[in-house]
Amino acid sequence: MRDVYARLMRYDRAARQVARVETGVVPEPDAYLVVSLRNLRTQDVGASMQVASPDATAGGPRVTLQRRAFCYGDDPCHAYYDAAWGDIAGTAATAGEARTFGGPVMRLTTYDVTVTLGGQSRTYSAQVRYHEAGDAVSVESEVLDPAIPDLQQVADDEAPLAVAAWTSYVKTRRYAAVVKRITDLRRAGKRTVPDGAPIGSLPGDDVTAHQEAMVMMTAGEPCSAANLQVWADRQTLRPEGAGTPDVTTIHVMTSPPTPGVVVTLTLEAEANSGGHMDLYHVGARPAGSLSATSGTTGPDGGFDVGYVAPVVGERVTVRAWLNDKQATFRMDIGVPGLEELLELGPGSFQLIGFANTPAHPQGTNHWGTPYANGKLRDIAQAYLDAFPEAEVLQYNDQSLPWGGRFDYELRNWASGAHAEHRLGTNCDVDSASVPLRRRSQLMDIFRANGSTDTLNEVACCQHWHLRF
Amino acid sequence: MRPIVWTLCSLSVIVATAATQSTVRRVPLQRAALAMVSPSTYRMGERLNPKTGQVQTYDPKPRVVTVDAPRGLVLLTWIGVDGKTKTITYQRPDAIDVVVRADALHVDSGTLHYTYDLEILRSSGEYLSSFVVQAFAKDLEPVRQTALYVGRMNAREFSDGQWTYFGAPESSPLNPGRRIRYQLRSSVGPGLVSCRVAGGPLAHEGAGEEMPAELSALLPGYKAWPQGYTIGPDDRLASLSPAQRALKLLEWLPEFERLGWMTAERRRHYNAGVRGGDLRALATEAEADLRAERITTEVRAILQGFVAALPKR
Repeated sequence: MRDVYARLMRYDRAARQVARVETGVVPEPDAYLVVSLRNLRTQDVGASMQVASPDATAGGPRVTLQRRAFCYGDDPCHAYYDAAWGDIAGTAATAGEARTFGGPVMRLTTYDVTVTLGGQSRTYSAQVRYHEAGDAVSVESEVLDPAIPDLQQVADDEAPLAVAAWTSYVKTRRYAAVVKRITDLRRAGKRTVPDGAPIGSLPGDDVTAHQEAMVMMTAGEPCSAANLQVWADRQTLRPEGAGTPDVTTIHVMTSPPTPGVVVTLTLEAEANSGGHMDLYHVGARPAGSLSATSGTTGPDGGFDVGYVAPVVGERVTVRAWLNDKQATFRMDIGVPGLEELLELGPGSFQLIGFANTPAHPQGTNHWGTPYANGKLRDIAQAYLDAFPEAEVLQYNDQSLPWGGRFDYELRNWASGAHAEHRLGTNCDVDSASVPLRRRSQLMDIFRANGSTDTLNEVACCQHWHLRF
Repeated sequence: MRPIVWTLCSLSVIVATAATQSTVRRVPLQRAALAMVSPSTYRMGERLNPKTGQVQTYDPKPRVVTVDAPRGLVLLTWIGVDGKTKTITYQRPDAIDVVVRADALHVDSGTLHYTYDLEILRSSGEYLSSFVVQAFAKDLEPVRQTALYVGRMNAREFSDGQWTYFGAPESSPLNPGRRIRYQLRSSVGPGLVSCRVAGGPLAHEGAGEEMPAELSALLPGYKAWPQGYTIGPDDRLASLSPAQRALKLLEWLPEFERLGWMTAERRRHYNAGVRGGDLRALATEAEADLRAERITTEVRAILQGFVAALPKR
C-alpha cells in the first residue's frame, strides 16, 4: 500500500508544479501532500473471519482528490491529482465509478496514516484488503482510506505523470519515449509499471536514456538533428566524490562528416531528479563540467570533450548545437544499486527526517546499499531483542535515491552536515528515543551489526552516525 | 661492575628461554599493524560564500596526527565548511594485547561448556570493549551476563561460521591487567577457530561535521581488530573419519606450538603418537602434560573431543 501513497504524493507534486507554471506563484513548502504510514500489520484472513472496515464515519477532515489530465492527440493522457482538504460530498463528485471487488478477502493489511497538507494534519487507521481475483490466481488490492476516499482511483490509475509546461513537454524526446513505452507495453499485454519497479513508480518512469535517444521524433520536433550526433562512452556515471567512474568522454559527430564547423555544447540537469527538489534549493543545480563547451570538428567531422560528473545524483542531458540543429544525449549520474529502506511492519523501526524537508521529501532520504539496509533491520531487531519494552529505533537520513552529495541543511548543492551519506552506507540513528541506560549496549549492537567506527554526534546533532 | 650486570642479564635470558621451551605460554592475539597516514591527495572542499552566494572551493587539509601510539590515539583533523579546524580523536581498536585461555568441559550429558578467559595485558594501551569468537554449531548458546551485551556478530567480515559478540561491562572498564570470562554452550565438540578483540570506545565523538571522504576511508573498521585462534564448537569435524581426524590433528600441531599451546618437545611427541594411531593414550597423557604446563587446556579439550568421537571399543 506504500506504493499508492507514494504515487499520490507524486501526482500531487505534479499538480503543484502545474499550478506554479500556470500562475507563476511558488508553492509554500507545506503546500505539498505528505503521507506517512506506521504500524503496518498484515494477516491472512480465513473464510470465517469477519473483516471490519475502518471507521469511515469517524470525525476529521478528508482529502479530496481532483484528477486532471493533459492529453495530446491519441497519446496516453498524463495525469495529476490536486489534493485539498474538503468534505466527503465534494469528494464523491470526483470519485468516478466505484470499483467493486467480488472475490473473497484473502489477506488484510492495517496501518495508521498521518496526512499532512497545507499545515494541517490528520492521523487515522486505514486498511488494504487483498481479494482473490476471478482467475483464482492473482490478487486485487482494495484500498480503504477513510480520509482519502478516492485513493482507490489513484491505485487503479495507469496514467503517466503530467509535466509542466505541458506544451513544451510534448515536443521533447522524453515525452515521445514515454508514450512509445506505454503504447508498446499495452500492445504486448504487459503491465505499464513493471514488477519490481521502485515504490511510487508510474507508467513511463522506466524509460531509459537509451530509449529516449532512440525514439523517432515527430515532424516539427525541435531536437531533430539528422546531421549532428552526440554521445558519451558511458551513459551512467557516479557522482564526483562517490567513486568511479565519474568521468567520461563526450563525442560529437556531424553526418555526413563535415570538418571545420563549430559545435557548441551545453549541459542541462533535470529538475527534481536524484531526490533533490529544485524549488527548495539555493542556487543553480550543478550539471557537471565539460573540458570545453565548444569545439571545431576535425577531419573526421567530429571532436571529443571530457566530462566530469556533478557531485549530486541526477539526470543530465548533454546538448550539442550546430546552428539550428541539435542533438542530445542523456546520462544518469548516480550510485548504482541503492534500495529504499522500508518499515517492514509493527515494532521494527521508524523512518524519520522527511517532515519539513521539502528539499529532500519523504521517499528520498532512506536509500542504502542492500547490505546497509539489511544491517539496519538487524540492528532494529537486535535492539528490541535486548530491550523488548523499548521504543523502536528511529532512523534518520541515509542517502538520496541516486546517492551523491546529500546537501542537507544548507540545500545549496555544495555543502552541509552530511559530508558522508553519499554511497548508501551511512545512517543517522536518532538518540532522543534511546534512554541513557541503553546506549552502551546499543553501541555494542551497532558494532556487532556492521557499523564499526560509529560516530557519536549526540551532543551536536542528537544522533549516532553509522558507517557500514 | 658492568660486565657482571651484563652476565647476569644474559643468564636470565638463557633461563627464560629454557623456561619457554619447557612450559607453554599462550601468545596474545596479533595486531594487524595497519598504518594511518595523512591522505596525499584529496578533493577540495566546497562551501557557499555568504557574501556572493556563490559556491567556492577551499582546501580542507585533511590530516592524520598520531598523538599517542601505545594508546592508539590518533587525531583526524580538517578544515570545516565554517573555516574552523575540526578534530576527531580516534582511538584505534588495536592498541590492545589480549591472551585468551579457553577450555571445553562437559556440564551434563551431551553439553559442552566453553569458557574463554581473557586477560588484558598491561602492555595494552586501552580497555577491552569487544570479544568475538567463531563457531560452527547449530545449537550454539552464548551464556548471557547481566550488564553486558551478548549477541550474534553479524557483519560480512564474520560470515564464515557463527560468530558470537561479547561486549564489556560499561560500569567497570576492562582496563589493562584485568580479566573477564565469557562462555558458550553447545553439544558440538571443539575445533580450532578464530577469535578477535577490539579495544577502546564503541563510538567516537563527532565534530559537528562529518570528515572528508579521504579521512573516513582511512578508518580501518574490523580489519584492525587483533585476531588469533582459540577453540570453539566445530561441527565440520563430525563428518571426518578417524583417519581424517588424525590428519587434521597433525595439521594443527605446529599451529598449537606457534600459539604457545604446546611445547616443541610435546609437539614432536604428539606427532609421533598421532601417527602411531593411539589417540586414547595421548588423551590420557594430556592430563599429566596439562598439569606440567607442557600443553594448554585448548589442546586437551581438542584431544578429548577427538577421542570422544572415536568408535567405541
